[in-house]
Amino acid sequence: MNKETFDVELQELLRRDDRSTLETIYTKHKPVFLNYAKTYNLSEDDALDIYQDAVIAMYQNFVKNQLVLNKSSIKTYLFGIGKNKIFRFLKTKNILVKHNNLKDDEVTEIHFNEENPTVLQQQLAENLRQISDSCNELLRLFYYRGLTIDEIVEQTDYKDPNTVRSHKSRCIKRLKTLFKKV
Amino acid sequence: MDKDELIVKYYRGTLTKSERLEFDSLMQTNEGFKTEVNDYQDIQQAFKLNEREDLKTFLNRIDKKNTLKRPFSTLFTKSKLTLIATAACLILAFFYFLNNTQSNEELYASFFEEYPNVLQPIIRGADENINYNAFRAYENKDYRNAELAFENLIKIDKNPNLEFYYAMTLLNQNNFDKAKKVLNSLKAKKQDFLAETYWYCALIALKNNDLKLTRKELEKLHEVDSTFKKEKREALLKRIN
Repeated sequence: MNKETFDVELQELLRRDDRSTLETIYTKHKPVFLNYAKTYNLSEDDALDIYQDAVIAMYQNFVKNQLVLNKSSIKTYLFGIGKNKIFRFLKTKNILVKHNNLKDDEVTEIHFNEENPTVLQQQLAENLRQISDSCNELLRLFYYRGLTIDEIVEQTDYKDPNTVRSHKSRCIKRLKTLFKKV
Repeated sequence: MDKDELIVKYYRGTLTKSERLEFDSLMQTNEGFKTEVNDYQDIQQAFKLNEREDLKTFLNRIDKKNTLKRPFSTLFTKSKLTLIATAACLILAFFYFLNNTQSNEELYASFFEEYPNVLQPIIRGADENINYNAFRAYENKDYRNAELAFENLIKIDKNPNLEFYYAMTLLNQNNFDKAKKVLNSLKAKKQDFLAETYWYCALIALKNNDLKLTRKELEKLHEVDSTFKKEKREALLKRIN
């Protein structure tokens, strides 16, 4: 199997929320990224933190937005996000990016707009941790992974779309009840 | 179309023209639908927050697991008996070491590590450029072809950073004299790998049994960057003093 085909297959696994593929990618690119971050004089702890954030952002984009990379590899994409996060980090520390080697730095920065969560969203996040596992899993498939009701039937043990709908409706009610208690 | 499907497709960005019309119409006429659309985004963001937290824990666990895999760390997780046996082995190894100090060649082998490609992490796709073949060969440990590729690159672009990697290709082929020559020329040039240059010069001197020069290169390394390879630098100095 050539590298490109392998990359396409890995992307498909990431879209399916496959954690073992995430582990493979995380472990594989970690040393090179940490070395790359070193060129920006980042401490090891900061570099690792940024790398993890970049991996998470990348993974969430595959799972949540069903990302398909046509023109670049997973590594290119990951490093692009990482570079953006390095720049953001340096900016928050008021460190001017003075990278002697900018012209040779072939990593193309990928801009990432991450909105800060609202108070409502933070409260919802807490409440989601309190509902039953089956509710959490079903709502996760629908709201986070963006699967339609039919797709949920295909990928789970629910017997038909109506069962999914009624379960989902009960779970949402439960979630809203928790909200009212606050 | 089913309302749930319309909402999911809207957030996926896959609504067809007619579905979009239906969606817009419902947004204007159906208050319950509008609330569900807004709720969808909030719940999605809430999941994203929780997922971030879970993924962070997941990645930290991977790191922890990989650290524990290291042989030295595993010493501390074994049974008492294993610990006693290991301690005995270490004591024996210590006495063996006292009676059999390593040769400089062995020392070189234990301290030498291939320098990673930190200059051009991108290796494929739309970002391929003139440096691509050289770094690809380097990453693949195909040092002969990497040497030729870097040699050609340097002819076009007298970039000292590329010269450093050229020296690394030579060093990885045990071409010490030529590597030393290139590295020595780099000491006076403005480049990103000055500390690395002194480190590898020290190792070449060690390989050549020139301990005086090894010490000198290590001292110089300390001057230009006291943090680079600090532990290894100090360990090597101890071994040769």
